[in-house]
Amino acid sequence: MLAAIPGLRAFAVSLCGNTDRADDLVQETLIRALANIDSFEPGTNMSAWLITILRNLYRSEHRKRRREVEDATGSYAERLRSLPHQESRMEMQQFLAALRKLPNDQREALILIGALGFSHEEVAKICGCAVGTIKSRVNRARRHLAQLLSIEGPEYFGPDHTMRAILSRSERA
Amino acid sequence: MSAGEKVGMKDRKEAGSGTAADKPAGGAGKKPQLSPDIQEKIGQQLRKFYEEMVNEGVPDRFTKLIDRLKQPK
Repeated sequence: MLAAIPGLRAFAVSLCGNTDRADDLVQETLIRALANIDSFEPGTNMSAWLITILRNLYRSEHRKRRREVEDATGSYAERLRSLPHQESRMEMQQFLAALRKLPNDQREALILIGALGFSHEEVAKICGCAVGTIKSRVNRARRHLAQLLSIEGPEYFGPDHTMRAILSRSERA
Repeated sequence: MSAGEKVGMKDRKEAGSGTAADKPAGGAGKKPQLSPDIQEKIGQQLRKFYEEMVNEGVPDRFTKLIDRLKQPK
């Protein structure tokens, strides 16, 4: 269960865009999971089971809070101070901001597959829809994201982007 | 959990070529395929996002919570 926590947190941050709320959601998920541990089938994927619980909690909470103003930009980006290089920090901030602009169903599919490494089949089960639907959501999410990122900074996808930064640093040194 | 290492982006290979300015695959009517460069970049960022969470470790509040809840009363 501990091993699943980074994935749960990543997924929760991508849903809420706010780390404090995300961690509260993870906490609720763990409480719910441990109270219902008997319904977990041994031998099945614990992470997927936990993600399903978290997703359901988020959705029912979201329905209640619909009228509240959402933290659309995501304060997670503010916490990225721990990243070692300015370059990659900026890049990650840009990336997360773009991610927040995707429709929910596309974003969750992309995160679960691209970041957490679930299979299309596992994600279809988590989201309760067909494998084909998940595949098309992921494809749309990637295209959408590429579009958002190239609008926000044409240099974002430049192959020498990082290299140039490294070179200019070492020239100064 | 090795989930973070699995890729999921590698399932679509495009033969040869590969600049961002590639023509849409499949001709008119089809949506353009993303170039492998862009797909790889998106994949990298997604994995990095997950890795950051792994590197942060599990916050105390969660380890304590699990210990407390697991304890039979």
